[in-house]
Amino acid sequence: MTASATASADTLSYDELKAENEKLKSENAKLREQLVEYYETKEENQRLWEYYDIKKENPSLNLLPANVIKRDTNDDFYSFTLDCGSVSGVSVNDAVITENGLVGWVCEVDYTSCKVKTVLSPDTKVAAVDMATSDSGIVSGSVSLCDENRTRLMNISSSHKIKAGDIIVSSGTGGVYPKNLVIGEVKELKFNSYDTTTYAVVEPYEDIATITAAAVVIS
Amino acid sequence: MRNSRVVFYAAVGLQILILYVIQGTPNLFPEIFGSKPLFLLPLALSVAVFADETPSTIIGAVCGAFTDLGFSGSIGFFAISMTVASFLISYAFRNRLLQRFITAFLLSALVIAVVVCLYFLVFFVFKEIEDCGVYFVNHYISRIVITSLMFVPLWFLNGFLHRNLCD
Repeated sequence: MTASATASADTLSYDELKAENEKLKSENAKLREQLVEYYETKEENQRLWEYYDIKKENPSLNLLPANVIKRDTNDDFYSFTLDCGSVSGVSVNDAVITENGLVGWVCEVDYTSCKVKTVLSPDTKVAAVDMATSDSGIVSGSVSLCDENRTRLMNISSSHKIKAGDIIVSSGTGGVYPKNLVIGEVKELKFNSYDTTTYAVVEPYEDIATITAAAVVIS
Repeated sequence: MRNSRVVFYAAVGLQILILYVIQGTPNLFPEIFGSKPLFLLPLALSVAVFADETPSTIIGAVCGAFTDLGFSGSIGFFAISMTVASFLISYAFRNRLLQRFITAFLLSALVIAVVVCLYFLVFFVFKEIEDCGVYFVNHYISRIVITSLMFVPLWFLNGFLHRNLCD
């Protein structure tokens, strides 16, 4: 076979090239979809492993993973709605956590959805304790701190030893929130001019305004 | 004529849906000076300026209910207050006031300020939330102002629709 004949046999026509191009584009689109599904599954897998770790440390916890389906954009404290409800065993006052700690509590429940108020809301009251110093207090939100993704540890004793960097967890007293759920880290201590007490500014490890998935601790 | 009225109220219904989606979608409409406008309140008031009392009341109730869904999920405060406000605005413009833009704008701004301040009073002040005064200054004053400003385009739009469909 001559060189020119060989070259002609190897060279594709315009139509063939075009068809191959379309086929490759279609395959590329399918692969992109698979890649997106892969990343979603990977993220969900990672999250579920972290919930499993939480469950291993606290075997008494019953966790129900859920996704955020609605966020109240006009709500001042970033509350959101999850896609699980009373049918799945969720009830009012159940704690809501992510892999980074406690983020809120269930305030309303429907059959297939539930509304969550976050730890940034003044309506939230969580009995908490400083892991380092064992000083106890109540975590409750503040209108002046909610925009900075911060909350407060109030009602702490005047002889407390709390300092910046301490980790705050739920104490379990009161029976509403399970024990040892991480709430956040102390950023600074401030003086409350209304009642002349000191409170600790606590920053949750989770960015409350951008939560996309969480788990309900079913009682 | 009757069909034209139906078209007008269908257009209002479409506006309610579109503005509810705009209001409820995160990051779709940016925050201005720390808050976002409540689109459905000026919509209800702009329709009340032109429509009769009964349809205005119904539209006010619907807009208020949708606003409640975006705030707390439970229908209540805005549904009741906008029902009353829409009826009063419609009655005032049917029997007492001329349909002038400046009159409508000032009255709706007053109504919006009263409704939002009442909301703040009930859900913040009466609950004795600390620092609520600072929060009001940082978030709610801007919310009142920009919500009132949303009345302007809606007044012109609904005025145009009403003149061409109902008159």
